[in-house]
Amino acid sequence: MLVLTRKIGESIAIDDHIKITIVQIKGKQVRIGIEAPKETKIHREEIYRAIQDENKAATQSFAGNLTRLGVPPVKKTGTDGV
Amino acid sequence: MKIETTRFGHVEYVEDQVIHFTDGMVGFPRLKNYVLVESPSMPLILWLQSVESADIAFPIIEPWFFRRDYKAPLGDADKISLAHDENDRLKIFTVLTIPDDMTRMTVNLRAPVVINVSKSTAAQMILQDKSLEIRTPAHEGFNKAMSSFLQTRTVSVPEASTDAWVAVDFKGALSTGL
Repeated sequence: MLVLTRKIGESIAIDDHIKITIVQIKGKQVRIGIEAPKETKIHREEIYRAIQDENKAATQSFAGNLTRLGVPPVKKTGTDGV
Repeated sequence: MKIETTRFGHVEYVEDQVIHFTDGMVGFPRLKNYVLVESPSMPLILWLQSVESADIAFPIIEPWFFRRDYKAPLGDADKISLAHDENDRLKIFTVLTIPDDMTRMTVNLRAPVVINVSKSTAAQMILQDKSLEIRTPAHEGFNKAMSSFLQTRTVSVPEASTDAWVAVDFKGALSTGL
């Protein structure tokens, strides 16, 4: 990983179109400004990872019968199927 | 065309039923094309079945059962992924995770799936609203939705579902609100 030291107000240019600026440093937190083309998707990494993990879990979902979902089957007459 | 899926067996579909994810689902960037699959044995839930991978399918459901005021504002990047024009018809779904213990099912309200019905494109968005949880408990909301669904319609729910899965003509079905 490339590691650079920057001061508040200084920036990093990535290619021609992405600019990352150090906006504020407060204790252990750093505020970062990002300028990028509008098609660029930018997310907090832990959120992105959590959604990746959840999507993987979703693909393991059970695809069985409704009765397994706790709902009794309903007969064509519309009467309660229990 | 047909897919031999691991879950639903043989699923026949036509080109018009394919939904193209420009960027794939989050964590599945290589899988770009899906069909919606449904079964009368499991109303309210649709399955996004990958055309390219037989064992990948996401159960999806409309978010309104869990949050009546659910909103998914499109960002610029989402609009580009969806090739979105102002008059396009959009449908919003949320991804369910259904473990063997159904009472522990969750819905991902943070990362909805938006389908641009007009263009047959789709994208999984990541919303900025921190109050929307990735693992929102969904069993109660789902049961309520299912109860009212079963009360308002006289439906037959077959016991066996292996051969009941069909690809959804989503342009038609979604235009009438399912």
